[in-house]
Amino acid sequence: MKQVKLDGLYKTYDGTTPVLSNVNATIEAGEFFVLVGPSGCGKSTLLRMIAGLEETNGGAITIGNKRADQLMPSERDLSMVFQNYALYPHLTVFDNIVFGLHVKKVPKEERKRRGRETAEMLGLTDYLKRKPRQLSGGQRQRVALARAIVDESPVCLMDEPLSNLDAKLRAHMRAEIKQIQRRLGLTIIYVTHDQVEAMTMGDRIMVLNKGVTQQIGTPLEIYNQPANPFVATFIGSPPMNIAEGEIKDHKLFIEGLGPIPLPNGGAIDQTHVYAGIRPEAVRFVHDPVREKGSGLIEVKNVEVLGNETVLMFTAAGRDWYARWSGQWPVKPGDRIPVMIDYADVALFDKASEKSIKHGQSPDVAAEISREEVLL
Amino acid sequence: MRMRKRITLYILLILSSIILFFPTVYALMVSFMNGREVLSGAVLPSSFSLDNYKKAFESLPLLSYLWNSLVISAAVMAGQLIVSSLAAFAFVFIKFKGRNALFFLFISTMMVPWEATMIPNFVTIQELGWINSYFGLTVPFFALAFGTFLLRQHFKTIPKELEEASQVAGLSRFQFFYKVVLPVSKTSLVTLGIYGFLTTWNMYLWPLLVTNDETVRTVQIALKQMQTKEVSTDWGVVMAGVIIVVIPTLLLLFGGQKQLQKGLTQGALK
Repeated sequence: MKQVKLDGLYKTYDGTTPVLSNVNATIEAGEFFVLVGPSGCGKSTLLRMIAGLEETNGGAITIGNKRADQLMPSERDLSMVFQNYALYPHLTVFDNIVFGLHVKKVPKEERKRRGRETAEMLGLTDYLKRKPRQLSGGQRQRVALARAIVDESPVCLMDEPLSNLDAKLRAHMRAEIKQIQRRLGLTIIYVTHDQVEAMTMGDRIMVLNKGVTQQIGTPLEIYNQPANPFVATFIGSPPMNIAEGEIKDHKLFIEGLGPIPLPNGGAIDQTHVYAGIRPEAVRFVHDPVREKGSGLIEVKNVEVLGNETVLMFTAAGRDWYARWSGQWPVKPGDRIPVMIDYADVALFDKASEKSIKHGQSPDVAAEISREEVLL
Repeated sequence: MRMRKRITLYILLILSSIILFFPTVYALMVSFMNGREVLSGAVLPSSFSLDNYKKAFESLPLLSYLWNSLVISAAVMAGQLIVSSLAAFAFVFIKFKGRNALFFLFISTMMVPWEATMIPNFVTIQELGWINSYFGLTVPFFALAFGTFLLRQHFKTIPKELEEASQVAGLSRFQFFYKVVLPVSKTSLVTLGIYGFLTTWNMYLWPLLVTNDETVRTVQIALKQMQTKEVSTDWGVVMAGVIIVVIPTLLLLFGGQKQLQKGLTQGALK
C-alpha cells in the first residue's frame, strides 16, 4: 500500500486557461480518497493525470517514494476502473480479469489461482466463461472491479465506476467496494460527481470546482464545516440554503424571513455576508408571536418521502428547502411560520466567500458520545 | 387485396431473379453440352456428360493456373490486411500533426482509376525485374485506400478507454494492436479479406500485362486463352472452365456471407 502525493499540480489544454491549478493533497496509504465536484471541474482530468493518461503541465506526483509524473502508466504500479468499464469484448470474463497478469508475465498457475479467488470474492464464479456482452450492467461492473483488484496494485483509481448503474444496484455496490477496500487495505482514489457516494464511501473527500481545490476533509468535516458557499451547497441533499444577508443592529437580516437576533457576545465584524442554513435547521414554530426570528413562508412545493417531508419556498430570491422528519399535512400555497436559530446559521464573507462561522452540526444537540452508543 | 399485392410482388421477384440468374444457369447448362447442342441453341443438355470438364483440364494446365490464382489472391489478401490494418491503426490511435490531412490525401487516391496508374506501375515492376513473378502480381495491390478507410471506421468505434486500460495494464502499442484491436475488429477484417481475395481472383488486365508465359498466369487469362485458342470456340469447354473458376469464389462467399453482411452494414446503422 502506497501513499500518493500531489504537489502543486497544474494542467492546461490550450496553454492559457488552467483546467487544474495548484492542486495539493496527500493521500495516505490505505485511504479511500474521493474527488468530488460538478461536471467539468477537472476531477477526471486529475485522476487521469495520476494514472499517467494525461500529462502534467506543472507540479509533481509522488507514488510511494517515487516521483511518478514522468513515468508511463504501467510503471506507476496502479490499477484503474473506468466509467464504461472498458472490458475487452472479445475475451471471456476470466480472461478479462487476468489480462493484466498475463501482460505482467505472472506464471500460469498463479494467474489461475488469483483469477479464481478474485472472481469468488465478487461473486463471478458462475460467469467466468461468458463474454462481457452476455452480462448485465452490474456484472460488468464487477468484472471491471475484479480486473483492478486481481492486479494487487497498491493504488487503485476509479473514475465514476457506478454512474452507469441503477440506483438500487449503486447503493449495493457502494457498500461492496467499501468493504473490499477495507479488507484488502487498498489505497483508492475515487472520482464521482455524486455527493452521496462521496459522503458514504470516502475516508476523506476533496471538493473541486473549476479546477481549484475547495476543501479537503473527512465527510463530516465537509458537511459540518464547509469552507465556502460552494462546498456548502454541493454537499448535502437537499443542498444548504444560501442567501445574501446583512448584519445590522445585532441582527441578521435575510430577505423574506424575519430578522434573526445574534446572541450576546456574538458580534460579527462584517456587515455583508452569505448566510447558509441547512434544510433541517429551518424549523416550524408553534407560537410565532413569542419566538424570535420567525417569519411566514409560502410553500411552493411539497415532497413527502414517508419518513420526512421536504418543503420548497422562496427566500431572498432563491429556492429554499426545509426538511422536517415525519409526514406533514402541508400543501403548496400554504403560509406557515418558521424560525431559524442563529446557532444553526453558517456565515461566509461576501467578498472573499471565506467561512466566518459554522452552523452547529445537526446532532450536536443530542450530545451522544461514541461510548454511550456502544453501551 | 393484400393477397393480390403479394402475388404480384412475388411474380415480379421471380421474374427478375430468373433474368438475373439466367446467364449463370445457362453457363452451367452449356458446360454439359456438346458442340452441336450449343449451336442449335438448346437450353437444356441432352445428357449431363463431364466431357467438357475433362477437355478443359486437358487443353490447358488449368490446375496450375488455379494454383497461381490461389497463391496470388491469398497473398494479396494477407498483404492488404496487414498494410491496411497497420495504416488504419496509425490513423486512429497515433496522434501526429497533419493526421487528418494525410488521411484525406490517402482517401483521395480512391478517385484515381487504377488504369491511370497502370503504366507507371508497369514500368516500376519491369525495372524491378518482377515480370513473370508472384511479386509483380501481388505487391502493387498491398496498399489499399478502401481497406484503410474501412478498418479506420471500425477502429474508431473502439472506445478510448480500452486503449487506456491496456496502457495501465502495461501493453505496448503493438501488443494493444494485435491483442485488442485486431480481435475486436474481426468482422471488418473478414470483410476486407474476402473483398481483397475476390477482386484479385477476378483481375484480368494486370496479370495479362505482367506475365508472358505460363509460370505465374492466373485462371482469368486461361479462360480468355480457351476462347481464342482455336478458330471456332468450343463454348462447352469454355463454360466448363468458367464454372471451375467460379466455384472457389462461391465457396468463399457462402462461407463468409454472414461476416460480410455484418461488416458492410456496420457503421451504416448507428
